[in-house]
Amino acid sequence: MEDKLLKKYCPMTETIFYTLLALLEPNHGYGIMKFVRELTEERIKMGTGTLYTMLGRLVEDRMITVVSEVDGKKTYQITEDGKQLLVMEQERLRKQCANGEKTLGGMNG
Amino acid sequence: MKKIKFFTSLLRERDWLEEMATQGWLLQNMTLGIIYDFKAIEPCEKVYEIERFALSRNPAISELTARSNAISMAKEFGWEVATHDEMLNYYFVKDKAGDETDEFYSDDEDRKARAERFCNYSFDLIPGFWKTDIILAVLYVILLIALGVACYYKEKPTLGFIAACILLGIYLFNSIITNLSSLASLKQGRRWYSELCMTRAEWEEYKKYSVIPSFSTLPKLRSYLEEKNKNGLTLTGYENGALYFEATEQRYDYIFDTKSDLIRRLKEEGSPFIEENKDWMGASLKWYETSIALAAKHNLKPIAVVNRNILVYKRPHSEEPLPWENSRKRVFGPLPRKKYIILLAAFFLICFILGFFFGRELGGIMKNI
Repeated sequence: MEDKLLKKYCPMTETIFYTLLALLEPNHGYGIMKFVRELTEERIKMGTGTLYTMLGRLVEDRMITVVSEVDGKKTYQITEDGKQLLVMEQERLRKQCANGEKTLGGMNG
Repeated sequence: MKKIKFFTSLLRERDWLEEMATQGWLLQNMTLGIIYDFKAIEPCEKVYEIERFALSRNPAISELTARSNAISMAKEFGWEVATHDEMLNYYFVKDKAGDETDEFYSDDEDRKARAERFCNYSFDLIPGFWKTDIILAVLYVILLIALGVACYYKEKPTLGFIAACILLGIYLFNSIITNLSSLASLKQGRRWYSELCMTRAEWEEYKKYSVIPSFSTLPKLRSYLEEKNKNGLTLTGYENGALYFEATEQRYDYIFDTKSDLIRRLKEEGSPFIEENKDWMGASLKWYETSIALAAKHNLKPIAVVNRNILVYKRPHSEEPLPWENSRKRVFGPLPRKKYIILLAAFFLICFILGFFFGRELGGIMKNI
């Protein structure tokens, strides 16, 4: 994967992270929104505009791809590059969490 | 049903369209940005969104299909394209849900990107105005030279002079139009940008707690703020040309400072205010800094800069006298509209009188040639 893309997507926004998660299975626009909404227990509700701008950008950067199109309704799925990025982000988040735990952990109790 | 209405504010337009829906009218067509064509529906609550899909200067391939993608996805989310106008602004409409899905954008960055699309569209008109103006100027110079040459050989200077005057008139008229439309486009672009960056909730807040002020004197501003205070609102800031308020039960004293007041006070204290060097444009922050430092001694914190030149402080109401008085009641700032018109009319009158006498003199000279 190109360095440029790594810089752009690592760290990535929460909405991109959840969208990529939703696209591990083929999914369409409204389906992605519903998936994310259920997964985050109604915390993240994506608007259509946010979603189409993001999907457009992700397709352009080949993180996801269009797998089928019926009457203009497109179905998207994650690519190998996308999966790789998702794993890297997951790893980064885990480290971030660990750092937080280590420094902040004692303060909770 | 057709209605003619002109909006400079996209969000006020949106409010109006939504208001029309509750009265049973759904937008179905738009012409020239001012003629709205409605069809009758059952009165209901609808929400509108306005979107642009114009290409940027160096479009990416994805931008070419952005519109069809966006429209089909918006359909999945329940939005329909009500219509679009000649400038390709798309009006989307949907039944009101009362939650975040009533908005296209749930993300600040994307909301800003749309605001930029609208803003750039307005700004990008300006070079066109100026190109027309430059072409006309070049044309005018060429015609003038041709006219001069023609007059020299035909020996009919009066006719040539009149023709030159007419041409100059056309050119000057175009210049005025160019300047005015450029200024309007700038203003429009900025306004669209600041509006479209707001969420629905922020827009409601903006309308509720803000006011576009037009104050020519400090006592007027004071009585306005005190009136608001009586109604349980207190000033919290000034943003995008509007005063912001919050609900309060406390009564406040408002203290104003202006540059001239500050200079006078310091002079009376015997430590005159020294202007910053190299500050040709009057952009120095020094008087604000000085004023804030002096006010801190009275335990006052600044809350807003109104009209770019009135620094406003407040303190809980007390019987103590205000730390300072304002000697200069009138402040430089946006003039009330009435005065603008009077000034403009006076200017036109003077121009007309000068032109009249000048023209008469010239006419006399021309007759003698």
